[in-house]
Amino acid sequence: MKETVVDVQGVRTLVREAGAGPPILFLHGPEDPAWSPALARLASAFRVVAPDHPGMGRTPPGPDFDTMDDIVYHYLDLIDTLGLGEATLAGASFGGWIAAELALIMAPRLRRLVLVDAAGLRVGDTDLPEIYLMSDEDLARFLVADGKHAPLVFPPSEDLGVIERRLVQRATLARFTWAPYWHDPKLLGRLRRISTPTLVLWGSDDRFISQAHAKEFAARIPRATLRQIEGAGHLPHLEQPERVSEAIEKFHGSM
Amino acid sequence: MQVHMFHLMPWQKLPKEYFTDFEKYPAAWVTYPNTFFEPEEGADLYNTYLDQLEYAETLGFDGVCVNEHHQNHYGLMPAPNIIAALLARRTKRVKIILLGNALPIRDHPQRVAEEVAMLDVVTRGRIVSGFVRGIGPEHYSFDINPAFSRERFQEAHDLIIQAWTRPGPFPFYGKHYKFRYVNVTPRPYTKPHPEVWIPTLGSSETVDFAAERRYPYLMLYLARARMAQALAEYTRAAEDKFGYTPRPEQKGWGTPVYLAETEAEAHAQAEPHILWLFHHGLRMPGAMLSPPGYTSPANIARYVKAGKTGFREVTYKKLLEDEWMFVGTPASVRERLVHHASELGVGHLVTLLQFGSMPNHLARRNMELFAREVLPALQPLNVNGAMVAAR
Repeated sequence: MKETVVDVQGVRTLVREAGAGPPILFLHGPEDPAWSPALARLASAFRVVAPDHPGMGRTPPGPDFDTMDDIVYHYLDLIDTLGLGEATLAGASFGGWIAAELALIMAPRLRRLVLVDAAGLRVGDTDLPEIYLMSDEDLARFLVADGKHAPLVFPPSEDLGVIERRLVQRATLARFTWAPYWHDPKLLGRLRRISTPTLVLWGSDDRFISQAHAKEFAARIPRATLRQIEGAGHLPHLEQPERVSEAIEKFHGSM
Repeated sequence: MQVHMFHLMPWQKLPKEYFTDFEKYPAAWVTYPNTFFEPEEGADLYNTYLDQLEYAETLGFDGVCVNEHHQNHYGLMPAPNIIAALLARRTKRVKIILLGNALPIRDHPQRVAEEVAMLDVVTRGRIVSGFVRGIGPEHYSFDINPAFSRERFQEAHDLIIQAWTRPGPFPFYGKHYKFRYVNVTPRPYTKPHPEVWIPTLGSSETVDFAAERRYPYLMLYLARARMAQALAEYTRAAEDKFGYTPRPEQKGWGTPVYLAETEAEAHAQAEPHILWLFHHGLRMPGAMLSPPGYTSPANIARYVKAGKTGFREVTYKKLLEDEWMFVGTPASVRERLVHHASELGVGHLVTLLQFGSMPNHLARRNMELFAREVLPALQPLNVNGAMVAAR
């Protein structure tokens, strides 16, 4: 795996990359972005490109990035810069929301779309649970199905740099998800326009974004398949890397 | 020095289990059910507290202070301008000091400009207009993105100052606030506009914001050493970045004070009420006090390094040792306040003489002892002839 800093219209974006084959762009969630075992496995079949979002991980905040579409346009620029126009797009949680918004714009050009426990919708008359009143420790435990996986979300660290980066990351996440809380009211009605074959992967024990959201994504996106990942919470790529990478590979080869 | 009385107007009747079950009641804010507020009891409390503030004028205080907090049981003043209006025609002399209006949580800052201008006109210039960002919980209660709190604060401030000083109508085009017709009527009584104070939790951006505009800078709930440090930061910013030395009138010190005839009596009476304030009134998780994005990365680094103490860990002993508050006989407290106020060089002392669950009779006796025994020794301190004349 190699890490490079890519200048995306002035935003010095950290990109992790490995493997050869059809490209897959992976967009991370609220966890510390890292080269996870799921990505390592995918790299045996794909060219995996995994950037840190602006203001998260090791990418600095974008100038005047205030709303989701600023991130979406950042990724349109990154896709052009790295020549990923025909890529498969995969995103988890917050990254899944970005992926869905990108797919609305790029649908005919994308090969496949994979949404893993994706945010972006408000289903029924219920808000997602409040995570901004949780400490990082509580949040990590909340996001996983098995408590012993919590350190995968925010690996324990005494490094002040890591602690500060995590605070900045949480602030960035809040900037884009505070209100409306973790969704775009328009997204639900627009999902019908995603013509890309789509795999909706969902942790069977996701306590943050419920199965009702999975069903809504699968029902609204015309060519969507829904698959549960057993034994995973909100972040299946961290808790069940084999099941996730297998599901994506199989889906990719299936059409 | 001007000496003021600040009131928080706490809701005193928390249910018994609130004091023992921190799991069930993690906060007196945001999520604490409003069904615990009883309007009949509330009527008594509001009127008792307003009487106390009016009494402060009779006793010789220079100003009375009110503030803004929402959806909580720490203080019952979601609308400080309404409290100020209730006091405006019942007082004749004191300044009415808003500590202050929380700007970022307003979608229409012109409303603040209008209300404060009305108060200023009616009182013939007795209004001090504090501006604050609002603390963390307000961003939950009003669903205001904390990431934009500082930008909105600055923009709303600029809009209000322009609304008070520029002939209208004129357009205002900011990032968060866009108005085609700014034409606030009435215009304020005070020229060029009501005095602006900045009560703060002490972030470096706010230090600069206040120092640059020569706005009085005020802090509450701090150990005295930390207070000295914070005021020194303000002075340093003024001197190093903006080329002037702040006058005493630009510096305010807020502190709870409790007096009784003997030391023992004072401590016995003060302790439960001040702990009510810190442990129960201010009860909230850290993330609620400082939601993500509320604090800039530079200040996050500052706080991470400083290692913060939560209000819940504060003990009565600690409050006394570190001089977060002053308790004792009038003579001992007078001596300490005179000494520290001189040393801090502050032109405003903002006293909290009713706090937490303190009943009316103790609050009034505290006010009386303070006014009789301490106030006269403080008012002659740190006086700078150049100020207030215009007001």
